[in-house]
Amino acid sequence: MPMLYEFLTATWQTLYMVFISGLLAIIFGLPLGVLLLITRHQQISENKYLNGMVGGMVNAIRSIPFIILLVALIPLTRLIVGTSIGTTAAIVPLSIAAIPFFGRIVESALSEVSQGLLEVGNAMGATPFQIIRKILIPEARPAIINGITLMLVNLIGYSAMAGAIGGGGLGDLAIRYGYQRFDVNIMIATIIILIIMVQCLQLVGDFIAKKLLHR
Amino acid sequence: MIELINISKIFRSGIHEFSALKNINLKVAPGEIFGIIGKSGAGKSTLIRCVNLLERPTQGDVIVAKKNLTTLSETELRHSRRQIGMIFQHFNLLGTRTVFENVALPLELQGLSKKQITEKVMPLLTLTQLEDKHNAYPADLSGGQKQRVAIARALACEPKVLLCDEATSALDLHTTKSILDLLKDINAKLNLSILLITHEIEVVKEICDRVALIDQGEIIEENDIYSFFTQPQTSLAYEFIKTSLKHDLPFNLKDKLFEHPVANSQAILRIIFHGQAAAEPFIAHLMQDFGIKLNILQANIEFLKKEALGIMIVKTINAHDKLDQAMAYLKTKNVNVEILGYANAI
Ligand SMILES: Nc1ncnc2c1ncn2[C@@H]1O[C@H](COP(=O)(O)OP(=O)(O)OP(=O)(O)O)[C@@H](O)[C@H]1O
Ligand SMILES: [Mg+2]
Repeated sequence: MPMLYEFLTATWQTLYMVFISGLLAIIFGLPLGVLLLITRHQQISENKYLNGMVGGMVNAIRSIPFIILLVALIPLTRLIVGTSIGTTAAIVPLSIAAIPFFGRIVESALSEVSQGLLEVGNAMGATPFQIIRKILIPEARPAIINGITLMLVNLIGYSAMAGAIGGGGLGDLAIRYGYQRFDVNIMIATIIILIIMVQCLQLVGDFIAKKLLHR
Repeated sequence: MIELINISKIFRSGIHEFSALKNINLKVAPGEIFGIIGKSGAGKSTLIRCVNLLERPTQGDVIVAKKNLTTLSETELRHSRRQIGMIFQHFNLLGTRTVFENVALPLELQGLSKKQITEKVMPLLTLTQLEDKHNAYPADLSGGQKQRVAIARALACEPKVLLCDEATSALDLHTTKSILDLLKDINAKLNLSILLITHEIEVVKEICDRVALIDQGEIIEENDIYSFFTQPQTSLAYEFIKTSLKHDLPFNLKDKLFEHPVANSQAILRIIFHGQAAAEPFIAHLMQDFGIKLNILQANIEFLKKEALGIMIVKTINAHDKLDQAMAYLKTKNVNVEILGYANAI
């Protein structure tokens, strides 16, 4: 069954790309989101210039269409991974697209935390770092989890594009068989796998968010 | 315990300046419950937030537990703030933490061990009657329970001072009473100074020892609770207390009153007594020693922080020239008496 093997490999590759780049986006996007929030007007460490600069960079990256980012980042990818082709290489543009996206999600999740709670922290004599770690982030956790789900679902879509230019994964499979060889069945099968993937992700994400919400 | 010296606060936005507090001077003694009452927008919240410098006053000194907070560095200020508990109108509990964890938060921030934290939190939950709720989340609590959690949390660091910003305004009458009882209880048990702000005169009446009236950023009246209720100095103070105490003449008599005695008229007196005076049979004395009979037109007993306050409106009968002597006698007994006017004998 060579076809089944191809499906399994492609599914694995997609999951690999999505989760590694998702993980990187969380690692870098979380502090980015915190930075974007705390430097806002009347926030813990207001800084108009830093906020403008970082926010500007985030907007710039987010306004580049992913397919162009994919190509534009080839030199950087080569520098980091050593090659610009393959699943691991695709992680670079995927992460770079996801980090600012997730940063904005975190920023908006944190901004929903009521000002009163920050006041409580201040009144208790908490340091700014303690306020972020003990109050801001924990209270925003349900919204952040929802954001992670959203980002992973988006990454599944983006990974299909990355696959198309040599990254492997389900997108690559669908294009090679479905588009170039007109094999509709393969196309449909990949779409079904993708739908199941998104569905499962959403279920798990919603479940965790609900667990954390306590409402 | 708390001393505010010449506090002013000016909010600036662009070219607009708004003077929210003007030259506030205030002293809260150790173990005292001090109330600040005022209408919406008077500057109450701004004032109480100045005490722990959540709001930095534009001018003036804030002294809490003998430390001048306005001169401290950020680190020192954070340290001092731990000795100042604060509770809020909307409770401000962390929704993702249980009751226990909410109370534990200030202790965690101080870096206490799990064991130390449990040792401190459990008695506080007992004090605030929340033992059986320690694993509940705020969303599952009633308003009164939430405020209890907030109180327990405010007490976690063993503060010397508790600030209450409209702590009962979001609660119904019954729950308000139970929260005020709790505050009274901890004030007595822990000998804690409490500064509370409110727009409800009932709160002042229930628990305060002293009260200040704030209007448009200025303290226009300050007094102990008895004097505040019995001898209001400003019309605003009068406005506040009259919703709470029956002070006035019955309206059917009001129109028939003369300012000065006329033939056959009788004096109408308002007699206010509290504390020791309430135990003296002074009405009997008036009759025996001065031959003055009293016709009681209206009488009621109010409770100001547990002590009774009696307010009577009486018509004297056949007082004549003895009235002055009788009034002097009453004053020696610490009974507050005042001639409201004169009415015809019938
Ligand atoms: N950050 C701010 N910037 C500008 N003006 C402010 C600010 N905070 C408060 N004020 C103004 O100061 C005045 C006093 O506000 P404050 O919140 O202290 O009133 P309050 O007595 O607590 O009223 P309430 O009973 O409605 O809570 C108000 O006129 C308000 O608009
Ligand atoms: Mg207020």
